[in-house]
Amino acid sequence: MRDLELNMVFDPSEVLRPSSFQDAVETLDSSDSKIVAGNTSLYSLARKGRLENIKKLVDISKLGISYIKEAESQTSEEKKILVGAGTTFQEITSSSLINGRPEYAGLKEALNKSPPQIRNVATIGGSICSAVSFYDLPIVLFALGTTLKFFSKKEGEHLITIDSFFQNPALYGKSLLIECQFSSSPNSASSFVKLCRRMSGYAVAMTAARIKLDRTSREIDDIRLVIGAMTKTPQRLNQVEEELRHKEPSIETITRMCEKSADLVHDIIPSVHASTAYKKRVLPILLREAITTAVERATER
Amino acid sequence: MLNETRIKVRFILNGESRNIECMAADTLFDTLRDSLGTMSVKQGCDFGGCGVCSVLLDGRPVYSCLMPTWKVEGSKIETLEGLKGKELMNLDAIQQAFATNFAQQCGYCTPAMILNAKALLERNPNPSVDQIKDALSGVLCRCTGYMPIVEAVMQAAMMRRKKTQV
Ligand SMILES: Cc1cc2nc3c(=O)[nH]c(=O)nc-3n(C[C@H](O)[C@H](O)[C@H](O)COP(=O)(O)OP(=O)(O)OC[C@H]3O[C@@H](n4cnc5c(N)ncnc54)[C@H](O)[C@@H]3O)c2cc1C
Ligand code: FES
Ligand code: FES
Repeated sequence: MRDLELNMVFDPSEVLRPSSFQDAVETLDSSDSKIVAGNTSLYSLARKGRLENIKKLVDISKLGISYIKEAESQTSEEKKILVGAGTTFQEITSSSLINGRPEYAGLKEALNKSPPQIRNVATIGGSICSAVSFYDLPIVLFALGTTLKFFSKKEGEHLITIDSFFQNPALYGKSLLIECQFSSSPNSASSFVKLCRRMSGYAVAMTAARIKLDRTSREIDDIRLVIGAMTKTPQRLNQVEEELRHKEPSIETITRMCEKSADLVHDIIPSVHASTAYKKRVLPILLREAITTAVERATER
Repeated sequence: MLNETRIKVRFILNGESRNIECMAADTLFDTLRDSLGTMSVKQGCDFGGCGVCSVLLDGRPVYSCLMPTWKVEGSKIETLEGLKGKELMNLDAIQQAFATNFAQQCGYCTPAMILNAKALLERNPNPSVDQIKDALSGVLCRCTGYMPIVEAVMQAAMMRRKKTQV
């Protein structure tokens, strides 16, 4: 029996199953089509009245973009991992390329936050292309410095940094995300810290860190810090990163820099569960935990 | 006016082949309950918040309220109706363990809890308490306080291991 209430706001008439990237983006030309990956967010978008004009659902499961593998040309210093946009959370967490590796510990933590029913179907591409600040996975991918491979009608395959994507996600509305690429180097590690009301729920606030220590001095050689669920889109904390780079990662230095962080983020927005003032209070605490955890993991390597 | 375009879908439901027609927006939940009569599949929220609509898709739990029917083409779907054991009242080991541990009160979450437990035990015959909690984390129970359910899954795991040793 049809769910008439849903059909009043969502009544697509066909499902298209393109078999090439070119065919997929052709279908996105018209404003009445929508890509479907794991579909975990589509009905909720529909109930909010955001898919009223959608007539064609574009199923991308036949495009061969469900995979996780190492890039062919690797240097001994840097190992690059390629993840197809259609790969599910579950497929990523069970991969030997991710498991037990400190550089991806934060990624695994973020993926395991959602319930199994979501992990089994939600895809990395759907999580990024939703372009919201309160999903866990994009925050860690941002901290890992992920490169995104898109396919568009005008440019074909092209690479952009996740930093540019989150500066203006709307620019990629007619493009297909096909792959995410991230690399790890020796002495690096990542972490993810989330404050939420229940085990599998959306974040009130969260932070992710990726830190690389200098092999000899053990100072912070490189650092990327990202916050989520605080500002409209995920945000990098460039100033805090700058202040910590080439410093010894002592708890005093980290604490001092984290305490400054709340004053450096100007556009914190409130949510139903937390005011701006509350988010400002928790930011330094979450950040310190993310940094110290990543440093500990990198030190143990 | 609502569109009437129908999509043909074939899948296996509890071991039986099914050929049905659905609309592009139809959920697997509506198809299972309204068209195919599998009444063990329940509805609480309709947006992925309660988990009582869980079914197994190719052996893994999914929320049927978030799954379009057209997407299960060629897949195997299992609901509680597919669970059959040879013991007491024809109950499966997990069902028996739920009964002996009083792991249900109103019973509304029970089919989903049992299916999630089944998916876990098929992959991991000897799970830790944390692994059980993680496997059940996507289903809410408003009655039991969860501990009897976790204990039932531990017991079911033991019963299943014993059976395979015989
Ligand atoms: C009950 C529930 C619990 C959740 N819990 C969490 C949680 O704890 N943490 C968390 O981070 N998230 C959580 N989520 C959100 C979940 O992670 C997202 O819904 C999911 O990642 C979206 O992926 P999908 O494959 O289902 O995408 P879809 O829902 O299919 O698509 C999402 C959007 O991305 C677009 N899209 C998808 N793939 C592509 C592509 N390759 N190229 C271009 N556009 C594309 C679609 O058109 C759509 O706009 C939860 C969701 C639910 C329903
Ligand atoms: S009905 Fe609540 S998760 Fe599906
Ligand atoms: S037994 Fe009533 S909701 Fe679980």
